[in-house]
Amino acid sequence: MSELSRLSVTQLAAAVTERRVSAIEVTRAALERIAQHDADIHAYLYVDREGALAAAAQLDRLLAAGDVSLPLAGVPIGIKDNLCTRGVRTTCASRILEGYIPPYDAHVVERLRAAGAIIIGKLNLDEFAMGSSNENSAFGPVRNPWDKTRTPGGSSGGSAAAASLALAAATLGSDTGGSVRQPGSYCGVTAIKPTYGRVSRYGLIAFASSLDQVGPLARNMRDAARLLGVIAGRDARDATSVDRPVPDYEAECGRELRGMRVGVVKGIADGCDASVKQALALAIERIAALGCEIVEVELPHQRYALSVYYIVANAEASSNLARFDGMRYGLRVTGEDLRATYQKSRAQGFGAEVKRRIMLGTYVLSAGYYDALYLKAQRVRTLIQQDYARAFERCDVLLTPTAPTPAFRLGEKLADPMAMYMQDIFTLPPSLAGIPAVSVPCGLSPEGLPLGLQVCAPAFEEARLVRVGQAFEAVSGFRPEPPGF
Amino acid sequence: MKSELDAILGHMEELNELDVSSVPPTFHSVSAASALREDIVTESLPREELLRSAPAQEAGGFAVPKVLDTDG
Repeated sequence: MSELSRLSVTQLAAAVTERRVSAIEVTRAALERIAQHDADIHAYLYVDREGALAAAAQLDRLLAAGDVSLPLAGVPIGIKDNLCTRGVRTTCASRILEGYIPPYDAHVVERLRAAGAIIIGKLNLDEFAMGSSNENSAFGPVRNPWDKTRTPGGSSGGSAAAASLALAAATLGSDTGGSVRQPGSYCGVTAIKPTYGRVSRYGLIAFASSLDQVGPLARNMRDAARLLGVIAGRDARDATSVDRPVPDYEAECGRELRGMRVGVVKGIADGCDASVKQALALAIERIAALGCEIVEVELPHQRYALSVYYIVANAEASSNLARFDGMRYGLRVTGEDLRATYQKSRAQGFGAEVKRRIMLGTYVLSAGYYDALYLKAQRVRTLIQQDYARAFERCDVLLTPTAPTPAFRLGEKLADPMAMYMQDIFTLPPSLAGIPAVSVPCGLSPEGLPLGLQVCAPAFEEARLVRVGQAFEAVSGFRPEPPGF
Repeated sequence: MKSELDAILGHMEELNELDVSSVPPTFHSVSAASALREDIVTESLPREELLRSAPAQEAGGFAVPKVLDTDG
Protein backbone atom coordinates (compact mmCIF):
# COMPACT_ATOMS: atom_id res chain seq x y z
CA MET A 1 0.00 0.00 0.00
CA SER A 2 2.76 2.37 1.00
CA GLU A 3 4.59 1.61 -2.26
CA LEU A 4 1.51 2.67 -4.20
CA SER A 5 1.40 6.14 -2.65
CA ARG A 6 5.01 6.81 -3.58
CA LEU A 7 4.47 6.32 -7.31
CA SER A 8 4.68 9.34 -9.58
CA VAL A 9 1.68 11.08 -11.11
CA THR A 10 2.30 9.59 -14.55
CA GLN A 11 2.87 6.09 -13.15
CA LEU A 12 -0.34 6.23 -11.11
CA ALA A 13 -2.45 7.57 -13.99
CA ALA A 14 -1.16 4.79 -16.26
CA ALA A 15 -1.77 2.07 -13.66
CA VAL A 16 -5.33 3.25 -12.99
CA THR A 17 -6.14 3.78 -16.68
CA GLU A 18 -4.89 0.29 -17.55
CA ARG A 19 -6.84 -1.01 -14.54
CA ARG A 20 -3.78 -2.63 -12.98
CA VAL A 21 -4.95 -0.95 -9.79
CA SER A 22 -8.25 0.70 -8.87
CA ALA A 23 -8.70 4.36 -8.00
CA ILE A 24 -10.15 3.22 -4.67
CA GLU A 25 -6.95 1.32 -3.82
CA VAL A 26 -4.79 4.33 -4.71
CA THR A 27 -7.02 6.65 -2.67
CA ARG A 28 -6.98 4.32 0.35
CA ALA A 29 -3.19 4.12 0.17
CA ALA A 30 -2.93 7.92 0.06
CA LEU A 31 -5.31 8.33 3.01
CA GLU A 32 -3.34 5.74 4.97
CA ARG A 33 -0.06 7.49 4.27
CA ILE A 34 -1.50 10.83 5.40
CA ALA A 35 -2.79 9.21 8.60
CA GLN A 36 0.64 7.71 9.20
CA HIS A 37 2.82 10.76 8.53
CA ASP A 38 0.90 14.01 8.70
CA ALA A 39 0.47 14.28 12.47
CA ASP A 40 4.15 15.34 12.62
CA ILE A 41 4.05 17.57 9.52
CA HIS A 42 0.62 19.24 9.65
CA ALA A 43 0.49 19.77 5.89
CA TYR A 44 -3.27 19.13 5.78
CA LEU A 45 -5.89 21.39 7.30
CA TYR A 46 -8.59 18.98 6.19
CA VAL A 47 -8.57 15.49 4.68
CA ASP A 48 -11.69 14.85 2.59
CA ARG A 49 -11.87 11.12 3.18
CA GLU A 50 -15.50 10.64 2.13
CA GLY A 51 -15.31 12.95 -0.88
CA ALA A 52 -12.11 11.31 -2.13
CA LEU A 53 -13.42 7.74 -1.74
CA ALA A 54 -16.70 8.66 -3.45
CA ALA A 55 -14.88 10.27 -6.38
CA ALA A 56 -12.59 7.24 -6.67
CA ALA A 57 -15.54 4.82 -6.68
CA GLN A 58 -17.22 6.86 -9.39
CA LEU A 59 -14.06 6.87 -11.48
CA ASP A 60 -13.67 3.11 -11.10
CA ARG A 61 -17.23 2.64 -12.39
CA LEU A 62 -16.47 4.91 -15.34
CA LEU A 63 -13.29 2.99 -16.17
CA ALA A 64 -15.09 -0.37 -15.87
CA ALA A 65 -17.77 0.81 -18.29
CA GLY A 66 -15.44 1.46 -21.19
CA ASP A 67 -12.29 2.84 -22.70
CA VAL A 68 -11.59 6.10 -20.93
CA SER A 69 -8.30 7.95 -21.06
CA LEU A 70 -7.80 10.66 -18.48
CA PRO A 71 -4.42 12.31 -17.85
CA LEU A 72 -4.81 12.21 -14.05
CA ALA A 73 -6.95 9.07 -13.65
CA GLY A 74 -7.09 8.21 -9.95
CA VAL A 75 -4.20 10.50 -9.01
CA PRO A 76 -4.56 11.88 -5.45
CA ILE A 77 -3.97 15.63 -5.45
CA GLY A 78 -3.82 17.97 -2.46
CA ILE A 79 -5.12 21.52 -2.85
CA LYS A 80 -3.89 24.67 -1.11
CA ASP A 81 -6.65 25.88 1.16
CA ASN A 82 -7.08 29.22 -0.59
CA LEU A 83 -8.61 27.43 -3.59
CA CYS A 84 -12.35 26.94 -3.39
CA THR A 85 -13.64 23.38 -3.30
CA ARG A 86 -17.37 22.92 -3.64
CA GLY A 87 -18.94 21.67 -0.41
CA VAL A 88 -15.54 21.31 1.26
CA ARG A 89 -14.39 23.85 3.84
CA THR A 90 -11.95 26.47 2.61
CA THR A 91 -10.26 28.64 5.24
CA CYS A 92 -7.19 30.42 3.79
CA ALA A 93 -5.73 29.36 7.17
CA SER A 94 -7.66 32.27 8.68
CA ARG A 95 -10.12 32.46 11.57
CA ILE A 96 -12.16 34.88 9.49
CA LEU A 97 -13.12 32.08 7.07
CA GLU A 98 -13.62 29.37 9.66
CA GLY A 99 -16.71 27.43 8.73
CA TYR A 100 -16.87 28.73 5.16
CA ILE A 101 -18.14 26.14 2.68
CA PRO A 102 -17.69 27.35 -0.94
CA PRO A 103 -20.68 26.82 -3.22
CA TYR A 104 -18.39 26.28 -6.22
CA ASP A 105 -15.07 24.75 -7.32
CA ALA A 106 -12.14 26.90 -8.41
CA HIS A 107 -11.47 26.60 -12.14
CA VAL A 108 -8.28 24.60 -11.50
CA VAL A 109 -10.14 22.20 -9.21
CA GLU A 110 -12.81 21.67 -11.89
CA ARG A 111 -10.05 20.96 -14.40
CA LEU A 112 -8.36 18.44 -12.10
CA ARG A 113 -11.62 16.60 -11.43
CA ALA A 114 -12.42 16.48 -15.15
CA ALA A 115 -8.96 14.99 -15.74
CA GLY A 116 -9.73 12.16 -13.31
CA ALA A 117 -7.80 13.47 -10.28
CA ILE A 118 -8.99 12.65 -6.76
CA ILE A 119 -9.03 15.71 -4.50
CA ILE A 120 -7.66 14.29 -1.27
CA GLY A 121 -7.73 17.34 1.02
CA LYS A 122 -6.90 20.95 1.74
CA LEU A 123 -3.37 22.06 2.50
CA ASN A 124 -2.03 24.45 5.13
CA LEU A 125 -0.63 27.87 4.18
CA ASP A 126 0.27 31.24 5.61
CA GLU A 127 -2.95 33.11 6.33
CA PHE A 128 -4.31 34.42 3.00
CA ALA A 129 -1.01 33.27 1.42
CA MET A 130 0.85 36.08 3.20
CA GLY A 131 4.16 34.78 4.46
CA SER A 132 7.34 32.92 3.69
CA SER A 133 7.42 30.33 6.48
CA ASN A 134 3.88 29.02 7.03
CA GLU A 135 4.07 30.39 10.57
CA ASN A 136 1.24 32.81 9.79
CA SER A 137 -1.32 29.99 9.59
CA ALA A 138 -4.04 30.52 12.21
CA PHE A 139 -4.06 26.75 12.68
CA GLY A 140 -0.35 26.22 13.38
CA PRO A 141 2.65 25.91 11.09
CA VAL A 142 3.69 23.09 8.77
CA ARG A 143 6.97 21.32 9.57
CA ASN A 144 9.59 20.63 6.93
CA PRO A 145 9.78 16.87 6.24
CA TRP A 146 13.59 17.16 5.89
CA ASP A 147 13.99 18.60 9.39
CA LYS A 148 10.93 19.04 11.56
CA THR A 149 12.46 21.96 13.46
CA ARG A 150 12.52 23.95 10.23
CA THR A 151 10.00 25.80 8.11
CA PRO A 152 8.73 24.25 4.86
CA GLY A 153 8.71 27.78 3.43
CA GLY A 154 5.63 29.70 2.46
CA SER A 155 3.09 30.49 1.69
CA SER A 156 2.35 27.11 0.00
CA GLY A 157 4.20 25.27 2.81
CA GLY A 158 1.57 22.54 3.12
CA SER A 159 1.58 21.97 -0.65
CA ALA A 160 5.38 21.65 -0.74
CA ALA A 161 5.66 19.45 2.35
CA ALA A 162 2.86 17.14 1.16
CA ALA A 163 4.37 16.75 -2.31
CA SER A 164 7.83 16.13 -0.83
CA LEU A 165 6.73 13.37 1.55
CA ALA A 166 4.23 11.89 -0.95
CA LEU A 167 1.24 12.81 1.18
CA ALA A 168 -0.34 13.34 -2.26
CA ALA A 169 1.01 12.40 -5.69
CA ALA A 170 1.27 16.14 -6.40
CA THR A 171 -0.31 19.34 -5.14
CA LEU A 172 -1.51 22.76 -6.20
CA GLY A 173 -0.30 25.96 -4.61
CA SER A 174 -0.55 29.64 -5.42
CA ASP A 175 2.30 32.04 -6.04
CA THR A 176 2.09 35.82 -5.61
CA GLY A 177 5.75 36.62 -4.94
CA GLY A 178 7.34 33.19 -4.66
CA SER A 179 4.79 31.16 -2.74
CA VAL A 180 5.17 27.92 -4.72
CA ARG A 181 8.84 28.33 -5.67
CA GLN A 182 10.38 29.17 -2.29
CA PRO A 183 8.65 26.30 -0.41
CA GLY A 184 9.43 24.11 -3.41
CA SER A 185 13.09 24.95 -2.89
CA TYR A 186 12.96 24.36 0.89
CA CYS A 187 11.21 20.99 0.55
CA GLY A 188 13.03 19.68 -2.53
CA VAL A 189 10.16 19.59 -5.02
CA THR A 190 9.57 21.01 -8.50
CA ALA A 191 7.27 24.04 -8.38
CA ILE A 192 6.05 26.05 -11.37
CA LYS A 193 4.75 29.64 -11.26
CA PRO A 194 3.06 30.06 -14.65
CA THR A 195 2.90 33.30 -16.65
CA TYR A 196 0.33 35.72 -15.24
CA GLY A 197 -2.82 34.90 -17.22
CA ARG A 198 -1.81 31.34 -18.16
CA VAL A 199 -4.07 29.80 -15.47
CA SER A 200 -7.50 31.06 -14.44
CA ARG A 201 -7.73 32.58 -10.96
CA TYR A 202 -11.47 31.88 -10.70
CA GLY A 203 -12.02 30.46 -7.21
CA LEU A 204 -8.54 31.35 -5.97
CA ILE A 205 -9.26 33.61 -2.99
CA ALA A 206 -7.58 36.85 -4.02
CA PHE A 207 -4.47 38.23 -2.31
CA ALA A 208 -2.84 40.49 -4.93
CA SER A 209 -4.84 40.24 -8.13
CA SER A 210 -2.16 41.49 -10.53
CA LEU A 211 0.34 38.88 -9.26
CA ASP A 212 -1.56 35.77 -8.09
CA GLN A 213 -1.14 32.58 -10.15
CA VAL A 214 -1.94 28.94 -9.38
CA GLY A 215 0.90 26.47 -9.92
CA PRO A 216 1.71 22.77 -9.49
CA LEU A 217 4.21 21.19 -7.06
CA ALA A 218 5.46 17.68 -7.79
CA ARG A 219 8.34 15.29 -7.18
CA ASN A 220 9.57 15.47 -10.75
CA MET A 221 9.30 17.78 -13.75
CA ARG A 222 7.20 15.46 -15.91
CA ASP A 223 4.52 15.28 -13.22
CA ALA A 224 4.52 19.07 -12.78
CA ALA A 225 4.29 19.49 -16.57
CA ARG A 226 1.29 17.19 -16.77
CA LEU A 227 -0.55 19.14 -14.06
CA LEU A 228 0.28 22.45 -15.72
CA GLY A 229 -1.15 21.18 -19.00
CA VAL A 230 -4.39 20.26 -17.23
CA ILE A 231 -4.91 23.57 -15.39
CA ALA A 232 -3.68 26.03 -18.07
CA GLY A 233 -5.92 27.79 -20.56
CA ARG A 234 -8.57 30.44 -21.00
CA ASP A 235 -11.54 30.60 -18.66
CA ALA A 236 -14.22 33.22 -19.29
CA ARG A 237 -14.72 33.65 -15.54
CA ASP A 238 -11.26 35.22 -15.14
CA ALA A 239 -10.99 38.19 -17.49
CA THR A 240 -7.18 38.19 -17.10
CA SER A 241 -6.79 34.59 -18.25
CA VAL A 242 -5.33 34.59 -21.73
CA ASP A 243 -6.71 32.81 -24.78
CA ARG A 244 -3.61 31.10 -26.15
CA PRO A 245 -3.13 27.48 -27.12
CA VAL A 246 -1.72 25.26 -24.35
CA PRO A 247 1.30 23.40 -25.72
CA ASP A 248 2.13 19.78 -24.85
CA TYR A 249 4.43 20.57 -21.93
CA GLU A 250 5.22 16.92 -21.28
CA ALA A 251 6.60 16.57 -24.81
CA GLU A 252 9.45 18.87 -23.70
CA CYS A 253 10.75 16.16 -21.37
CA GLY A 254 13.74 14.40 -22.88
CA ARG A 255 14.46 17.08 -25.48
CA GLU A 256 18.04 18.20 -25.98
CA LEU A 257 19.23 21.58 -24.76
CA ARG A 258 22.01 21.90 -27.34
CA GLY A 259 22.17 25.43 -28.72
CA MET A 260 20.03 27.04 -26.06
CA ARG A 261 21.23 30.35 -24.67
CA VAL A 262 21.16 30.35 -20.88
CA GLY A 263 21.36 33.68 -19.07
CA VAL A 264 23.17 34.16 -15.78
CA VAL A 265 23.60 37.32 -13.74
CA LYS A 266 27.12 38.01 -12.48
CA GLY A 267 27.36 38.05 -8.70
CA ILE A 268 23.66 37.29 -8.22
CA ALA A 269 24.34 34.80 -5.43
CA ASP A 270 26.78 37.07 -3.57
CA GLY A 271 25.40 37.40 -0.08
CA CYS A 272 23.64 34.04 -0.29
CA ASP A 273 24.43 31.06 1.90
CA ALA A 274 27.67 29.40 0.68
CA SER A 275 25.76 26.21 -0.18
CA VAL A 276 23.38 28.18 -2.42
CA LYS A 277 26.25 29.88 -4.21
CA GLN A 278 27.99 26.57 -4.77
CA ALA A 279 24.84 24.78 -5.95
CA LEU A 280 24.12 27.53 -8.49
CA ALA A 281 27.67 27.41 -9.88
CA LEU A 282 27.46 23.63 -10.22
CA ALA A 283 24.04 23.82 -11.89
CA ILE A 284 25.34 26.35 -14.44
CA GLU A 285 28.30 24.07 -15.14
CA ARG A 286 26.05 21.03 -15.67
CA ILE A 287 23.68 22.91 -17.96
CA ALA A 288 26.59 24.33 -19.97
CA ALA A 289 27.88 20.78 -20.39
CA LEU A 290 24.60 19.88 -22.12
CA GLY A 291 25.62 22.12 -25.00
CA CYS A 292 24.11 25.41 -23.87
CA GLU A 293 25.73 28.75 -24.37
CA ILE A 294 26.06 30.62 -21.07
CA VAL A 295 25.34 34.32 -21.56
CA GLU A 296 25.94 36.97 -18.92
CA VAL A 297 23.00 39.37 -18.58
CA GLU A 298 22.14 42.23 -16.25
CA LEU A 299 19.03 42.89 -14.19
CA PRO A 300 19.95 46.29 -12.73
CA HIS A 301 16.56 47.02 -11.16
CA GLN A 302 16.04 43.64 -9.53
CA ARG A 303 17.32 45.05 -6.23
CA TYR A 304 14.21 47.27 -5.97
CA ALA A 305 11.81 44.35 -6.32
CA LEU A 306 11.28 43.90 -2.60
CA SER A 307 10.11 47.49 -2.09
CA VAL A 308 7.97 47.45 -5.23
CA TYR A 309 6.40 44.16 -4.26
CA TYR A 310 5.49 45.14 -0.72
CA ILE A 311 3.87 48.33 -1.99
CA VAL A 312 1.95 46.81 -4.90
CA ALA A 313 0.95 43.51 -3.27
CA ASN A 314 -0.14 45.15 -0.02
CA ALA A 315 -2.13 47.81 -1.86
CA GLU A 316 -4.01 45.11 -3.75
CA ALA A 317 -4.41 43.02 -0.60
CA SER A 318 -5.88 45.88 1.40
CA SER A 319 -8.49 46.30 -1.30
CA ASN A 320 -9.19 42.57 -1.78
CA LEU A 321 -9.49 41.81 1.92
CA ALA A 322 -12.09 44.53 2.44
CA ARG A 323 -14.69 41.91 1.49
CA PHE A 324 -14.17 40.05 4.77
CA ASP A 325 -16.58 42.06 6.86
CA GLY A 326 -18.52 39.35 8.67
CA MET A 327 -21.71 39.96 6.72
CA ARG A 328 -22.03 37.29 4.02
CA TYR A 329 -19.73 34.48 5.16
CA GLY A 330 -17.15 33.64 7.77
CA LEU A 331 -16.70 35.01 11.26
CA ARG A 332 -19.04 37.68 12.61
CA VAL A 333 -18.36 39.14 16.05
CA THR A 334 -21.34 41.29 16.95
CA GLY A 335 -20.67 44.77 18.39
CA GLU A 336 -23.02 47.55 19.49
CA ASP A 337 -23.51 48.81 15.93
CA LEU A 338 -22.51 48.00 12.36
CA ARG A 339 -19.14 49.73 12.56
CA ALA A 340 -18.24 47.97 15.80
CA THR A 341 -19.28 44.64 14.25
CA TYR A 342 -16.92 45.22 11.30
CA GLN A 343 -14.11 46.21 13.65
CA LYS A 344 -14.54 43.29 16.03
CA SER A 345 -14.96 40.73 13.25
CA ARG A 346 -11.80 41.88 11.48
CA ALA A 347 -9.81 42.40 14.69
CA GLN A 348 -10.53 38.85 15.84
CA GLY A 349 -10.61 37.26 12.40
CA PHE A 350 -7.26 38.39 10.96
CA GLY A 351 -3.79 37.54 12.28
CA ALA A 352 -0.91 39.98 12.83
CA GLU A 353 0.79 39.68 9.42
CA VAL A 354 -2.47 40.15 7.53
CA LYS A 355 -3.28 43.23 9.61
CA ARG A 356 0.22 44.61 9.01
CA ARG A 357 -0.21 44.22 5.25
CA ILE A 358 -3.70 45.71 5.19
CA MET A 359 -2.41 48.74 7.08
CA LEU A 360 0.61 49.18 4.81
CA GLY A 361 -1.55 48.74 1.72
CA THR A 362 -4.09 51.28 2.93
CA TYR A 363 -1.27 53.68 3.75
CA VAL A 364 0.43 53.50 0.32
CA LEU A 365 -2.93 54.08 -1.40
CA SER A 366 -3.89 57.03 0.81
CA ALA A 367 -4.13 60.49 -0.74
CA GLY A 368 -0.80 61.81 0.54
CA TYR A 369 1.26 58.75 -0.43
CA TYR A 370 -0.35 57.42 -3.60
CA ASP A 371 2.05 59.23 -5.96
CA ALA A 372 5.14 58.94 -3.78
CA LEU A 373 4.75 55.24 -3.03
CA TYR A 374 2.09 53.36 -5.00
CA LEU A 375 2.44 55.04 -8.39
CA LYS A 376 6.21 55.21 -8.05
CA ALA A 377 6.36 51.49 -7.33
CA GLN A 378 4.27 50.75 -10.42
CA ARG A 379 6.74 52.81 -12.50
CA VAL A 380 9.72 50.92 -11.08
CA ARG A 381 7.84 47.74 -11.90
CA THR A 382 8.05 48.81 -15.55
CA LEU A 383 11.85 49.04 -15.21
CA ILE A 384 11.99 45.54 -13.73
CA GLN A 385 9.92 44.24 -16.63
CA GLN A 386 12.15 46.07 -19.15
CA ASP A 387 15.24 44.46 -17.58
CA TYR A 388 13.80 41.05 -18.47
CA ALA A 389 12.80 42.15 -21.98
CA ARG A 390 16.41 43.20 -22.61
CA ALA A 391 17.87 40.07 -21.00
CA PHE A 392 15.64 37.77 -23.07
CA GLU A 393 16.90 39.37 -26.29
CA ARG A 394 20.17 37.63 -25.49
CA CYS A 395 19.06 34.41 -23.79
CA ASP A 396 16.23 31.86 -23.89
CA VAL A 397 16.06 31.15 -20.16
CA LEU A 398 17.65 32.70 -17.11
CA LEU A 399 19.06 30.97 -14.01
CA THR A 400 19.08 32.26 -10.43
CA PRO A 401 18.89 30.63 -7.00
CA THR A 402 15.28 30.21 -5.80
CA ALA A 403 16.05 31.39 -2.26
CA PRO A 404 19.14 32.84 -0.59
CA THR A 405 19.35 30.11 2.08
CA PRO A 406 18.08 26.60 2.72
CA ALA A 407 15.05 26.25 5.05
CA PHE A 408 15.52 28.23 8.26
CA ARG A 409 14.36 27.22 11.72
CA LEU A 410 10.76 27.78 12.82
CA GLY A 411 10.66 30.94 14.93
CA GLU A 412 14.00 32.21 13.65
CA LYS A 413 12.71 35.17 11.64
CA LEU A 414 9.38 35.86 13.32
CA ALA A 415 10.56 39.00 15.12
CA ASP A 416 11.98 40.61 11.98
CA PRO A 417 9.56 40.95 9.03
CA MET A 418 12.26 42.44 6.77
CA ALA A 419 14.52 39.42 7.26
CA MET A 420 11.56 37.17 6.45
CA TYR A 421 10.70 39.18 3.31
CA MET A 422 14.34 38.86 2.12
CA GLN A 423 13.77 35.13 1.51
CA ASP A 424 11.81 36.16 -1.58
CA ILE A 425 14.37 38.41 -3.29
CA PHE A 426 14.86 36.03 -6.23
CA THR A 427 11.23 35.03 -6.69
CA LEU A 428 9.70 38.53 -6.53
CA PRO A 429 11.09 40.01 -9.78
CA PRO A 430 9.58 37.37 -12.13
CA SER A 431 6.23 37.80 -10.34
CA LEU A 432 6.30 41.58 -10.83
CA ALA A 433 7.17 41.10 -14.51
CA GLY A 434 4.47 38.44 -14.92
CA ILE A 435 6.90 35.92 -16.43
CA PRO A 436 6.94 32.17 -15.67
CA ALA A 437 9.54 30.54 -13.42
CA VAL A 438 10.17 27.14 -11.91
CA SER A 439 12.13 25.97 -8.89
CA VAL A 440 13.96 22.71 -9.56
CA PRO A 441 15.77 20.79 -6.78
CA CYS A 442 19.51 21.22 -7.33
CA GLY A 443 21.27 19.64 -4.37
CA LEU A 444 21.55 19.48 -0.60
CA SER A 445 23.26 21.83 1.82
CA PRO A 446 25.93 20.40 4.19
CA GLU A 447 23.23 19.99 6.85
CA GLY A 448 21.19 17.90 4.38
CA LEU A 449 18.57 20.47 3.36
CA PRO A 450 17.30 20.80 -0.22
CA LEU A 451 18.25 23.75 -2.43
CA GLY A 452 16.44 25.08 -5.49
CA LEU A 453 17.48 26.40 -8.89
CA GLN A 454 15.11 28.99 -10.36
CA VAL A 455 14.70 28.92 -14.13
CA CYS A 456 12.88 31.93 -15.65
CA ALA A 457 11.55 32.32 -19.21
CA PRO A 458 9.72 34.98 -21.23
CA ALA A 459 5.93 35.20 -20.89
CA PHE A 460 4.08 32.05 -22.07
CA GLU A 461 7.31 30.08 -22.57
CA GLU A 462 6.63 27.55 -19.80
CA ALA A 463 7.67 24.85 -22.28
CA ARG A 464 11.27 26.08 -21.96
CA LEU A 465 11.10 25.75 -18.19
CA VAL A 466 10.00 22.14 -18.54
CA ARG A 467 12.67 21.39 -21.13
CA VAL A 468 15.55 22.90 -19.16
CA GLY A 469 14.28 21.76 -15.76
CA GLN A 470 13.78 18.17 -16.85
CA ALA A 471 17.13 17.98 -18.64
CA PHE A 472 18.82 19.31 -15.53
CA GLU A 473 16.91 16.85 -13.34
CA ALA A 474 18.05 13.99 -15.59
CA VAL A 475 21.70 14.99 -15.68
CA SER A 476 21.99 15.79 -11.98
CA GLY A 477 20.44 12.43 -11.10
CA PHE A 478 19.29 14.04 -7.86
CA ARG A 479 16.11 12.49 -6.43
CA PRO A 480 15.30 14.43 -3.30
CA GLU A 481 13.59 12.10 -0.85
CA PRO A 482 13.23 13.32 2.73
CA PRO A 483 14.07 11.03 5.67
CA GLY A 484 11.28 8.49 6.15
CA PHE A 485 10.23 8.65 2.49
CA MET B 1 3.87 46.67 15.31
CA LYS B 2 4.82 50.36 14.91
CA SER B 3 8.59 49.75 14.79
CA GLU B 4 8.05 46.94 12.27
CA LEU B 5 6.00 49.21 10.02
CA ASP B 6 8.69 51.91 10.35
CA ALA B 7 11.38 49.44 9.29
CA ILE B 8 9.38 48.35 6.21
CA LEU B 9 8.49 51.91 5.16
CA GLY B 10 12.11 52.95 5.78
CA HIS B 11 13.31 50.26 3.38
CA MET B 12 10.85 51.45 0.73
CA GLU B 13 12.55 54.86 0.69
CA GLU B 14 15.22 53.28 -1.52
CA LEU B 15 12.85 53.91 -4.45
CA ASN B 16 13.70 57.61 -4.12
CA GLU B 17 17.10 56.83 -5.66
CA LEU B 18 15.35 56.43 -9.01
CA ASP B 19 13.94 59.15 -11.24
CA VAL B 20 10.99 57.46 -12.88
CA SER B 21 8.93 60.54 -13.73
CA SER B 22 9.04 59.65 -17.43
CA VAL B 23 8.45 55.90 -16.99
CA PRO B 24 4.86 54.69 -17.44
CA PRO B 25 3.41 52.57 -14.62
CA THR B 26 2.71 48.84 -15.09
CA PHE B 27 -0.59 47.96 -13.46
CA HIS B 28 -0.94 44.72 -15.43
CA SER B 29 2.15 42.74 -16.33
CA VAL B 30 0.48 40.82 -19.16
CA SER B 31 -2.11 42.84 -21.02
CA ALA B 32 -5.33 41.03 -21.76
CA ALA B 33 -6.97 42.91 -24.60
CA SER B 34 -10.75 42.83 -25.03
CA ALA B 35 -11.31 40.76 -21.94
CA LEU B 36 -14.95 41.76 -21.73
CA ARG B 37 -17.46 39.02 -22.44
CA GLU B 38 -20.71 39.27 -24.36
CA ASP B 39 -23.52 40.70 -22.27
CA ILE B 40 -25.60 37.56 -22.06
CA VAL B 41 -27.50 36.10 -19.14
CA THR B 42 -25.85 32.99 -17.71
CA GLU B 43 -26.83 30.71 -14.88
CA SER B 44 -25.84 31.87 -11.41
CA LEU B 45 -25.34 29.94 -8.19
CA PRO B 46 -28.46 28.90 -6.26
CA ARG B 47 -29.46 31.26 -3.45
CA GLU B 48 -29.58 28.51 -0.80
CA GLU B 49 -25.98 27.53 -1.51
CA LEU B 50 -24.78 31.12 -1.34
CA LEU B 51 -26.54 31.61 1.98
CA ARG B 52 -25.15 28.43 3.47
CA SER B 53 -22.07 30.07 4.97
CA ALA B 54 -23.81 33.28 6.10
CA PRO B 55 -23.35 34.11 9.79
CA ALA B 56 -27.04 35.05 9.90
CA GLN B 57 -29.86 34.92 7.37
CA GLU B 58 -33.45 36.01 7.19
CA ALA B 59 -36.15 35.79 4.52
CA GLY B 60 -33.76 34.51 1.86
CA GLY B 61 -31.14 37.21 2.44
CA PHE B 62 -28.14 38.03 4.59
CA ALA B 63 -29.22 39.35 7.99
CA VAL B 64 -27.01 42.31 8.94
CA PRO B 65 -26.94 44.82 11.80
CA LYS B 66 -29.07 47.93 11.40
CA VAL B 67 -27.40 50.25 8.89
CA LEU B 68 -29.59 53.38 9.00
CA ASP B 69 -30.71 54.94 12.23
CA THR B 70 -34.37 55.57 11.36
CA ASP B 71 -37.56 54.78 13.21
CA GLY B 72 -39.73 54.38 10.22
